[in-house]
Amino acid sequence: MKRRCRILLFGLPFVMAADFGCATPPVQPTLTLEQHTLRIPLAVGSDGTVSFAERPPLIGRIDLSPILAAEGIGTGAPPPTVQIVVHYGRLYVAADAFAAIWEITPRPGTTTAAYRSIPIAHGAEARAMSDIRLSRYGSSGSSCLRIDHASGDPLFITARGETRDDCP
Amino acid sequence: MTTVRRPALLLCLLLAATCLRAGEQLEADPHELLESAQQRLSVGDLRGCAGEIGRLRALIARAPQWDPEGVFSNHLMPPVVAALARLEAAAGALDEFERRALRDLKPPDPGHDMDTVGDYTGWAASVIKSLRVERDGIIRAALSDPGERAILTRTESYARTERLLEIEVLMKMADTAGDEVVGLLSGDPDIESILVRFRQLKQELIRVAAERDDLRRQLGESEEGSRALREALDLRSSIAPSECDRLRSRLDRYRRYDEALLAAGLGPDRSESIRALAQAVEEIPQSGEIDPAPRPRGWTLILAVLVPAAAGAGLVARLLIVRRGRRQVLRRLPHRGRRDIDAPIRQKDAGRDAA
Repeated sequence: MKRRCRILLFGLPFVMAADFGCATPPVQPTLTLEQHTLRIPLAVGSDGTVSFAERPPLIGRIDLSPILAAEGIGTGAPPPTVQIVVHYGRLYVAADAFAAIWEITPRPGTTTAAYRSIPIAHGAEARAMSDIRLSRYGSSGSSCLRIDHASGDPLFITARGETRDDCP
Repeated sequence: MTTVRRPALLLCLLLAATCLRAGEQLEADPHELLESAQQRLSVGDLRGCAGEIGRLRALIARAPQWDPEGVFSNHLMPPVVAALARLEAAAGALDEFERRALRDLKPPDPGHDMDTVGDYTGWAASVIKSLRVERDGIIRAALSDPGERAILTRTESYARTERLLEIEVLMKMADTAGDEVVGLLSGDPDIESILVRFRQLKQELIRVAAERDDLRRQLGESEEGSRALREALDLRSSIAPSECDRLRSRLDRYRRYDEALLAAGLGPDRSESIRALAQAVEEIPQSGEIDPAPRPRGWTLILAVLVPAAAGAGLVARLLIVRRGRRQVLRRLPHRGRRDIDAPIRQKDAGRDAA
């Protein structure tokens, strides 16, 4: 009797652990979502922010101060006009005064977003970008963000955020 | 040699830089073309909008990658194309309305007495009012959206109908009944705004009418002088060659004045009277021995009065013609909205202008 109790005492946790281990985690249902916008030109305010309310029905704002600072555009300089395209849920920001495209990835449920720069030109050409233009390009279901600029061939950013010379 | 080559080299470099710069211009993308089409449509440039839509369609047909999921083809372009089609149809209806209205405009039977002014006022007011009602009805029937109606008012077709209502009706009436009738029209609130343009002209017309009356009086005196001259010439038994030449010269001037007045539409045709005078002069036998100085010359005095009177009448007529020509030129100026600025001059106007 004592032995049975000892087996039950030590074996029950293993049995329970095995039971919980084999259970499938709860499956969250999904649906298809493609979130894009056309090109949205927005004026940067003196405080470095842009307001989507300029172009309804989108509303909200982005503080571009860190990006402006990274581009070397000081507070005293005239604020540029940026163009923004939402591509597969990420925001891409470009301007003639910029040397790079900036990718902003929202964090749902918060008021913050991650951002990174995507260099377009390198070296001596880094400041030669002009007439920049963001567009959607490609086929249904796998479109790219197309970046045209006067100083070079077009570049493409895929749905995964990779930079390529063509749109797969 | 070096100095010659340097400018050529600089010129080549400049041309090359220009070509390179031109090559850098980006081709318009669907977004730009759509925005341009919408902008042109909003200002009533239907032809420009259609051109941009055509370019957008061609771009998407050439490179479908520019339009993933057919967003432009299936969602963004159709509303613009539909609005453009509605506006084009409405503009076409307005063009047809304008053509029909111009063709059917029939002013009352012209009569230059003052009694017809009331008739012209009533006719102009009723025609302008009915045309405006018809035009607005066409717009309402063709377009239900107030925004599109507003766009239609910016189109060339609408502007032509406005010219029709503001100018063409009155011009047609002026062509039929004379400018004076347009100047005298008043009293109807529907055309009051239009008549403001003609009020200044009215004062000038009154002054011109007074000058014309004076001219007619002088022409009447001229006619009496001509008759007296013929009678005096009939009494002459002979005439000196020098006097004969002088008479011929004055008759020639008289004939030219008469031709100018006749071409301007002022006064009756006196060519018969002048021809009779010329014949009377030619029928008087010439006598070289006769000294004309001591003889009585009642006819010479009459002719001396007659020819300056005719000359004065000619000058007044010329003033009238110049003013009339100036009014006609002003009427055809672009700011008056006349479409027929390059239209051939009518025969009647050509004669006046030539005079």
